[in-house]
Amino acid sequence: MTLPGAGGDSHTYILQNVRPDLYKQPDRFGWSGGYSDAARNLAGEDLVQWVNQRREQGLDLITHSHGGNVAMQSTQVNTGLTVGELILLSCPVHIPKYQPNFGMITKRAVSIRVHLDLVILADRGGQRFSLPQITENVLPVWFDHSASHKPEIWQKYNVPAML
Amino acid sequence: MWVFQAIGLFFTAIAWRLTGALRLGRTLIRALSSRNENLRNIAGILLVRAGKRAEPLLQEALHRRENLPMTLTLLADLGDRIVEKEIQPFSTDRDPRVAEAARQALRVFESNR
Repeated sequence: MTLPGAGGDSHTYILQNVRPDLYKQPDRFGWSGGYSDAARNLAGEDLVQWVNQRREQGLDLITHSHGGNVAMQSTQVNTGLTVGELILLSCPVHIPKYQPNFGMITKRAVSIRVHLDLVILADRGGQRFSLPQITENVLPVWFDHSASHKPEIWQKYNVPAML
Repeated sequence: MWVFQAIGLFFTAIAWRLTGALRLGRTLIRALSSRNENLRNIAGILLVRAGKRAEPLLQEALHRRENLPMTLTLLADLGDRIVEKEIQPFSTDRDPRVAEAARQALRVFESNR
């Protein structure tokens, strides 16, 4: 289990309170967080390599923002990533450019977002997935892209129950 | 409240596009150092969306070491190889976060070849 696109407080909170099996080694996966397709495609390839080097295929992935699109890319590339549960926190929707290969997801895909996310608006992404394979959860929060990875929001709205 | 500041950034980006006034672009550059994660993201996205117009402002920021490592990431996102040689020296920067961002930026350029 890893967290492309999220870290810091959210990592500590999830590890201590939600998923004790969260990857906690110092070499955990990270990417540039760039705003270009090139940066995301590169990160998708890096994620596949990271997982393969550790023989960790089938991980559940908790992702934030474009980290979700990186994870989706990683299921599409050659010899792609097998994912357990794919959790998308405030993921900008750019279908068909970024969408998961559902054949590579062994459990389920869950999207958790807020109303009218302003960062997604700037990114010109869609706010919600209309794919039946992705379960949508909308938090009673407006505009705040970062809310979906904040521990206090997870506690207040019982986000762990959505996973 | 950050929401009003975010709306301000959207209008600033539109006005910058219409007028080309550098001081408007610099407002977005300044927002990269905001304490609010949403404002930093919105500013970054709007700068990349501005394309070539954002490049001299980001180069200016790079020379002043402002908003590193984000400035490095944004320059790579713009994808203009002219700035690649300006990024190169940062790959051995004394700040490991800056050095790593520069190395990632160079990889993005490489992947675009």
